[in-house]
Amino acid sequence: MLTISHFSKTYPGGKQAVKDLSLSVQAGEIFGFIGHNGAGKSTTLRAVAGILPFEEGEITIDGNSIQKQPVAAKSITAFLPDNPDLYEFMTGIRFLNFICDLYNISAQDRTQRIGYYGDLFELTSALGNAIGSYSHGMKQKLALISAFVRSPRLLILDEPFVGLDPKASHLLKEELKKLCQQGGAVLFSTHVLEVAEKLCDRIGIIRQGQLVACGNTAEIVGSSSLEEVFLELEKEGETK
Amino acid sequence: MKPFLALCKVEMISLLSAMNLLSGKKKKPFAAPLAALIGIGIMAYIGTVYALPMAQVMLPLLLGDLYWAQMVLIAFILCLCFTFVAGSGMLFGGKDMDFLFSLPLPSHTILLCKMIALYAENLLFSCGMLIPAGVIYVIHSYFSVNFVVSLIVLCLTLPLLATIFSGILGFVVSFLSSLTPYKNLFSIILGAGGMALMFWAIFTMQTSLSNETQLLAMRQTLWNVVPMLEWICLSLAGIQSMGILWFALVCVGSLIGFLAVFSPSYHSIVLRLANRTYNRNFKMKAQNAASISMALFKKEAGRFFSTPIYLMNCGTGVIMMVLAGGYLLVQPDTVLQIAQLLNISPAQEAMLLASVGGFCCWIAPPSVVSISLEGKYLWLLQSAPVSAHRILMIKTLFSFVVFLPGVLALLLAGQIALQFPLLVFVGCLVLSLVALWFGSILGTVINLHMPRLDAPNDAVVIKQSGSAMVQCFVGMGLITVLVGGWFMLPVSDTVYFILCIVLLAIVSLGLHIHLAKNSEKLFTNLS
Repeated sequence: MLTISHFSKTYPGGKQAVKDLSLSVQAGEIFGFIGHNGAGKSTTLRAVAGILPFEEGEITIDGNSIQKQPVAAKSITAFLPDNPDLYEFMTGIRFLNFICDLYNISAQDRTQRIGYYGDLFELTSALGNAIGSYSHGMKQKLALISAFVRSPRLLILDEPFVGLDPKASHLLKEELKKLCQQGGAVLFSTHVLEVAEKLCDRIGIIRQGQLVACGNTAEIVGSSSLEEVFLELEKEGETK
Repeated sequence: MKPFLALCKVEMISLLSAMNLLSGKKKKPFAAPLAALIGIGIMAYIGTVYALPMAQVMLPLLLGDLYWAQMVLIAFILCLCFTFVAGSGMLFGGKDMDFLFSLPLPSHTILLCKMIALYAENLLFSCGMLIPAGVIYVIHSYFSVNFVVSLIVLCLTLPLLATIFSGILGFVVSFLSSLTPYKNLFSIILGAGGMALMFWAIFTMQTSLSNETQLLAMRQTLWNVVPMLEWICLSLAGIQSMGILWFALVCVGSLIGFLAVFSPSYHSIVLRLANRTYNRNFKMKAQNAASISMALFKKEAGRFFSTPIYLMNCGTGVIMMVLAGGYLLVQPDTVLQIAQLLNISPAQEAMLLASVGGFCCWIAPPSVVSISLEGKYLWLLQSAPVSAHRILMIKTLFSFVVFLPGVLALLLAGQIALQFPLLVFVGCLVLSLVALWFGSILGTVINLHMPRLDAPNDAVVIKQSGSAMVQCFVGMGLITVLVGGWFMLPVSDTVYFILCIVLLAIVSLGLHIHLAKNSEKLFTNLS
């Protein structure tokens, strides 16, 4: 579903955020992206979503290059950044309809999906209010609903559990699993290692822009915990 | 005292950094002062363009007091129109309020610091209007030390009064907005009301100029309704020098009064306003689908009509064209008399009409700030399965559609009032539409190359960003060049008319080609 080959990103000013990163995410798979702050996780996710231009490497989504066929690649993708800013002048329902229009979702499908996810995340009654009046958690829920209503084949989430209450976190995990069971793929970054360990089929650990470990969760964790593996890799990086 | 000065410094730095011309992580040290200078320059230009003809008409008739009444009213209302939205946002709803109230500072210190920042903004606007008016007054009338002192006191105190009014109106707007779901309705009504009041005052004054009885009655009404205006104007006109002192005392007294009323309960007012939100219980029903282009267009319209400062700044041109059209319908004889006096042909009348329309369309089209206004929301469009070219063309089209009713109203009123021959009318229509499209696409291109995506609020993008200022200068410059060319080039009116249409069409086409080739790369590079 997603292939990243030799991706590198250097920001204006010379800071190299990601160096020669390659990985792939298959359909039906949840891939967790782990790393310390500034490791290059968000840079990679933004490049995959087509928001960040890059000069080196190739990123393809279902065979479509994000640089050469951006519209085709984006039409099967949903991306949510960490702390997503949504149009505050719109009401929740208007925002969801706007997203559905951009993704060519029929009136019937959107009515059914908005109704389902709105009820699931307990946001339906607030959809008539301006987004500007929402709390952080409500905005996060609305952003997630806007991602799920697209029925994406690739879901890219940057720190999706931040700001969610325990019930919504649980629901999100269930929906991510459901999406994968239906043939979709999920790529997400997180600092919550317990969630990554339990939820992800595969995990990639990034440090200073380089992928230092990548594989099945069970293989990476082994007999210890993901937290121990992560801290050990961090320690190795510091001593080098 | 130290915390107060530290907070004032932060507010001032925020104001100056808000004036930065471009977005980007590397700030150039000269960018903020340069932007402030350009802003003052634009105000000075507008002040000069307005004050000069007024001075030429009124000062020879010894109507110095009414000249000043007009300039002071315009400066005050313009200040208010620009800052009462900030009065609501900064004083009673800023995002930094929680942080500020958590600091060990008394409420009145926070309120005073916020008001000083608002005052600084008003000071820039009023000086930009009043100083050119003063210079023109001196050239056409007389110079005295008393006048200069009066003008300096006025420049310093008028923004103080505007700041207090902004604070009061800001409170009223914040309170009313918390009661309804239409958060920006009251801001729009107040802003539009202020603009209408200003245009009405100017219109009444100018129509009274030809009739001495009307003039005396209007002067008396003004002095009775706004006694402070009489004090200011008589002082500046050299009739009663103490008036400006009384005015200054009233302004300072009003500030003390404002602080005395709001300071004790400032914290609780801000908290209550922040917690009062109107909620409606939404019930899910069948939704409708729309095309991608329509969705983007509706999004642009939603942004424009729900952001008062956007609507009032970028919609002023439309209002001006509609008002000019109304004036043509109400006073066709006056316009015809002027045309006869200047001995101009129908083609020249049409050219003047198109110039007025072009001026209104080119100064501040919505497209010149619409990319900047995406700001923190840009990721939504960048990650959407829509080409950048399509997004930019919809922004351009929206700008065109917003101005179209104004252009048509002006042209139809012109046709009814001035009875152009059919060919001249068609030519004027084509020229105006080409000029309107050119202004819209120029705004998009300028904004794409000079976006301000990290602005702290919408007002900064709309009033102080580099693209808004560049468009304003380019618009005014182009009108000057085109009107100048009309006098300078040895060609007939008809040929010059066609020349303008062809020239604007070619440049617009060039801008289209530029967008078609480079929009994907430029739009993706925005961050």
